[in-house]
Amino acid sequence: MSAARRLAVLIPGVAVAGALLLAPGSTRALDLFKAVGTVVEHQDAIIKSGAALRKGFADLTPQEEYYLGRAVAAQILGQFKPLDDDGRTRYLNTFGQVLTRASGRPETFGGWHFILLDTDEVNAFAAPGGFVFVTRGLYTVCATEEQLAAVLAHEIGHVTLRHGLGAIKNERLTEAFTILGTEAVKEYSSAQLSQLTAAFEGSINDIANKMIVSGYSQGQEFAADAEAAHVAWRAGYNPAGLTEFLTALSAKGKKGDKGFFSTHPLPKERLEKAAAAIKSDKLAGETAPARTQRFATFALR
Amino acid sequence: MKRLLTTVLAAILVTGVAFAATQTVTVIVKKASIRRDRQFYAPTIAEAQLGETFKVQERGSGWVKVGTKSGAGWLHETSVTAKEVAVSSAVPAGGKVDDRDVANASKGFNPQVESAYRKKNPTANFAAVDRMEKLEANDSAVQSFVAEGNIEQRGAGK
Repeated sequence: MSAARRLAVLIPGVAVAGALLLAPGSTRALDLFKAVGTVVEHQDAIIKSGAALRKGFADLTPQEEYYLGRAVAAQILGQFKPLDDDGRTRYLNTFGQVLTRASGRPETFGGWHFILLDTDEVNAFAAPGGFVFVTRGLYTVCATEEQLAAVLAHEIGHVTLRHGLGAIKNERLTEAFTILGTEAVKEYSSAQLSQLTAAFEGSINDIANKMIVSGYSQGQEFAADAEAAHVAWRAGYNPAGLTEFLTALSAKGKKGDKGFFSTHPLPKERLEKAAAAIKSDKLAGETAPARTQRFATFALR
Repeated sequence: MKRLLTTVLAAILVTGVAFAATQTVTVIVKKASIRRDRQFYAPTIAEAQLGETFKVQERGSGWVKVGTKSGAGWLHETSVTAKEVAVSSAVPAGGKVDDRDVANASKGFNPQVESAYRKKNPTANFAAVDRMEKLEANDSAVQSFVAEGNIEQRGAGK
């Protein structure tokens, strides 16, 4: 059983995020490359209390998104070990910061953080608020820094577009917002805390089920790809890294395979959409040899 | 009639100017960089903390100009809100949810809720999350990465 599948079974509610991915081989494919995301209009979240003012996930505050993200990240890190490699971890995290500065959410509540997970599975996750995970298996699929930029930017896209938070059932939020509709408190009563914790836990389950079992919609995956192309382009990368990566991904599985290929658009379909978006939006770019050389020093084979 | 209309328009104008002059924003992220120019690659002149309030001097292109002891600088508009805010204390990077955090918490999914969740989900590895949150890349590291990669940035977030 893949680690991601174990995660889904053991924790029926891991808000894992986004994925371009698949797992090695035909049976382990499992995409979690979706992100539990957030978006630019987060500053419009109603921060004042009041159930009447807050209706859905778009009304979650950056702080609430952060605590959901921490819990999702904690579940992921309960199943996957971080790669014990300070050099590559620093490289990935700094790379991620460069890209987020070109995104719609340059500063999240707790900041963006990127790490590698020590597993052969080809996958990536992004928890709400900006906790991004890339597996060693996925990292090895990338042949250039441009391709890795596309992977990270896709995850960033899921977060900025709030795809994960959108999976939370409205009734959970309604329940939580109703409790919060009471006047400001320094500390919740045990009954309030119990209800809020249940809503919190349920929200995490909703996101995990969407990401691991049913998968994001094709539209959301295409949107994250389009966002990835724009973020990579604005950051100074060649957006062609996205189509190159999806081409490499196409060789890793086929329709009917479990996991990623059962819950997500085939890389080939995404490839066509991504190529069209890059062309129509005129996102031309160059791949500097300096980046390719740098990536060679950090590559994992 | 014309005079009345003029008076009303003038009143609206004055009110608008007064509003703009007194508008404030509150930081809604743990910390936000106040940059010398309105772009994300500009040097940071100061850091704003969660809950800090600033008078708005100017707005534009997704940025808000505010005053600091180090001079005027720009906050990204996604890091602030113009609305009234009741913020909870945040778990410090690498820190733990402690009694003080709980006592300071106010609304929403917060340290107190997380603490209750942790008790119900002991396999969730929050210690590893805390370590992850300690990972940071300052402006200098980002600029070095950009320079070494011969990256020509085409702009900040939309």
